[in-house]
Amino acid sequence: MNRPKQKNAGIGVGYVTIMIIFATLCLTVFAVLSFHAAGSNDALNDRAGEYLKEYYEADTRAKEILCRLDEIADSSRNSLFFAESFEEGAGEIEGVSVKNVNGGISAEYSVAINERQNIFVSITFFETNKEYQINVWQTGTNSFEDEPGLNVWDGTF
Amino acid sequence: MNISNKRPLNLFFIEIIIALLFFSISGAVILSVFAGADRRSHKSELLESVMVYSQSIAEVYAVSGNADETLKTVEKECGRLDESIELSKFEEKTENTAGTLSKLTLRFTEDGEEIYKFTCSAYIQNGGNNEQT
Amino acid sequence: MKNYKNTSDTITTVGSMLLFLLVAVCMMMIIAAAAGSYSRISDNYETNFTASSSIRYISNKIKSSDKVEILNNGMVLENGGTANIIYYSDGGLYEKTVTAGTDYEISGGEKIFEINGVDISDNADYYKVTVNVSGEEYSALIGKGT
Repeated sequence: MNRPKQKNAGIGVGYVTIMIIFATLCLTVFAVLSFHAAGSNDALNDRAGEYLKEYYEADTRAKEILCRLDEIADSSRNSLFFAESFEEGAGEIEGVSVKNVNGGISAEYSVAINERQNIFVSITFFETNKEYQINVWQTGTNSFEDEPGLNVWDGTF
Repeated sequence: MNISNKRPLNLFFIEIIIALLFFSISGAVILSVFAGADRRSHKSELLESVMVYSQSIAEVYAVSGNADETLKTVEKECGRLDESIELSKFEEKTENTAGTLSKLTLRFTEDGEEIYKFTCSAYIQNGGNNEQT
Repeated sequence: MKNYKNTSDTITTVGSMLLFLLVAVCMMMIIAAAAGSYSRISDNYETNFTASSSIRYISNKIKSSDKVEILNNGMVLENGGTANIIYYSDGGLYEKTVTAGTDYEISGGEKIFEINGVDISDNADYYKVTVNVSGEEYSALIGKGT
């Protein structure tokens, strides 16, 4: 009569195994999710870091061109014909286009940041004033010029 | 009679020992995954702050063209970086008749390991200010 | 003899139950610690993503605009004939696009990030953008011109 009672009194075989398997599964799920979240954050930061590097590399290239143009403008002021001398000098730099504006010459060029984006630069160099004027120093997409404007409400019905 | 009474208890202990052994082995693997995730998370956090800091440095440097002055301004405006991060800088200046082109390379390290490195630049005219319309 | 056996059985039963309970509690604690660790990493990811993305977003908008005007709790970025109004309101960073030159009203925009505050100030050579995400402040300087 005592035997069945004694058998049921303790913890049955299998409960601990089930509990451990459940705990291991929970921990595995949390570990994988944590690793995935950290990995996503890492990948996102790597991409952002790469873009930052690309942007400032392009910015540096744009400043190198600005430096050369300013030097050309400086030497052109000493020549008899500022515009012609500047155009000739600027023509040697790839991708730079120049046009005459009131009191000086405007130089325009763009430097690629990556496949999709560029830095667009427009600077005016004056014949009499040593200081140049930055009209545009902007980032934009490659199709910047062709992009249609946004259709926004103009305030009229 | 004695043997049959002890049997369930012995089985329970054998089971618990085997289960804990299995758990300790899998726990070690899971713990290393957690440690890896934590390391990556910490690295990301540092990289994040370093990138925002770098961008601020580049933006101020573009106007001042002076590395020391730039670092002081950024530290004043954006606060200090984590103490574990070391910043080393290398400045290169190229002068011509019109102005000076400066390039500043920044290298951020933690315990000797490089976190981020990038180069920014500034062009400052001789005695002139660059104005934007 | 019978009493001794009964007492012994009771002790071993209670002992094994206590052992089971101990293992169960340990497992619960370990699972709670793992959940806490995951939650911390996930929150960290969320905060970092929101802070850096909002700063980068504002920075890119400033860099690609012709004219910047600072408003209370926001800014107006004019580009060609359009103007983007980026402002903080009601627990989020909002943006709306209007025709340039109209009245710039800080309302009716679309929520782009969930943040706790933004402060944009105009210093002589740069803009200072401070974003508050989950009580933590992240600041960045964005230059004017080049």
